[in-house]
Amino acid sequence: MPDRLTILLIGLSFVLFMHNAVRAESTHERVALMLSGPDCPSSQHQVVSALEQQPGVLRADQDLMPDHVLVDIVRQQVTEETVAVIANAAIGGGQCRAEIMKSCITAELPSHDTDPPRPAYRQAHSH
Amino acid sequence: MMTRQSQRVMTLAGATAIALAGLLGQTSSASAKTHDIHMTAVESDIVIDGGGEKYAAWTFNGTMPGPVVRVTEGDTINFTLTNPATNKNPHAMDFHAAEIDFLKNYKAINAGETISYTFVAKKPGIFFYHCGAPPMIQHIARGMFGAIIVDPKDASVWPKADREYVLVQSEYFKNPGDVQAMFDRKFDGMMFNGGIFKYHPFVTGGGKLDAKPGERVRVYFVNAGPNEFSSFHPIGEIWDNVYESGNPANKLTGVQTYVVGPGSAATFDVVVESAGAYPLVTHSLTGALRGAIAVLLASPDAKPSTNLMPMVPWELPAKAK
Repeated sequence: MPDRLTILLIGLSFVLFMHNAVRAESTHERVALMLSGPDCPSSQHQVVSALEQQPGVLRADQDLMPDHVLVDIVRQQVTEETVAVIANAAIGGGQCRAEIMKSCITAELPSHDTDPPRPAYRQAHSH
Repeated sequence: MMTRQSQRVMTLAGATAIALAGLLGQTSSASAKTHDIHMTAVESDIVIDGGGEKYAAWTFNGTMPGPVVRVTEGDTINFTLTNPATNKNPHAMDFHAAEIDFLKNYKAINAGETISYTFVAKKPGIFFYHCGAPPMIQHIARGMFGAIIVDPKDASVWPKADREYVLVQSEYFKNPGDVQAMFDRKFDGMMFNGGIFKYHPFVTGGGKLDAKPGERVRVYFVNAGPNEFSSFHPIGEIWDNVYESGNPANKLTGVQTYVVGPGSAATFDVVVESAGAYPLVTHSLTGALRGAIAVLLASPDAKPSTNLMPMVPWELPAKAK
């Protein structure tokens, strides 16, 4: 019959294994939200505050790009669509709209199935 | 007929003129500087994306690209390369700005050895430098490259730039030991200044290049390769001037896209007319969409920039909360 130490070591190994497995699958992405409308300058702070409350959102930045909020997410925990919904809910009824910025410099590969497009170069790391 | 006195004055004037000419000549050559450049081959991991991915790189002085060397046309460079005994591989240095014997100067040295040579930067421009140790394709792919700017002796030969950046494009191979993948051109990413999407603010950890509207931004562009051509284009703008190899004598005007081959370089001037974002890309899209996008952000609030290669080295991003 295994002693207490053995059970403890097995348990610890399992926890570490699961922890590393979760870490390995963690994929960070940045969602670029473009804010357009006359009320946006006064809404940006609310958007950032609301997003930073959301699990899976690592950081929301309103300073790097004008008229944008850049949101770093863990893809396994929150989707970019959810990020947009939260942002628009935070704006409320004002004349401002948050949209996911897509353009010719968006680095995504075409998808042949129902999966969302994936980045051509994906950062799949853990911290 | 000249008097004896006037003859003496003429002789004196002539002698003075000859002396002045000699002095001017001396002044001209004396204005050329001598630079002692010492680089060390460093085999170590470096960060290549905003997620903190590390790459087992071989570098000059520990960064990819290596340090920017900047001299003026006519200057002398005393160059020394040290390959520390702790390294595992031979290394070498090939300066495209030099016109010297390849056999004697560009030979590979083993770990624990040092090599020195001297050259005069006779032609102005932007030039590639790289390790030439075999297999050269791998030494470049692993990060042993950089840029040397040779400023023209007469600065008035081209417009003064308000802001300057150096961009070095290179391919990224996930497995730095897979030389066959390098020969087969199976690159996994395309980098500017040693980073995937390093200056793309819409990508995790990405930054940007700053400018003010109306400024003349000068980009010294080097294509390190080792294999792919760059088709360099400013989205939303047109290059006001392109200088092949960065030589002011090689001037083109109003260029949308300019091809820079592996091992080559050019200088690009753009005057951004209004505030906004202007992505600088290789229009070879397999490269752009795998990392070679640098967003030039023009804003009246842009701070002055003194760093030719911002974010080199690329530090690990801040810890997530």
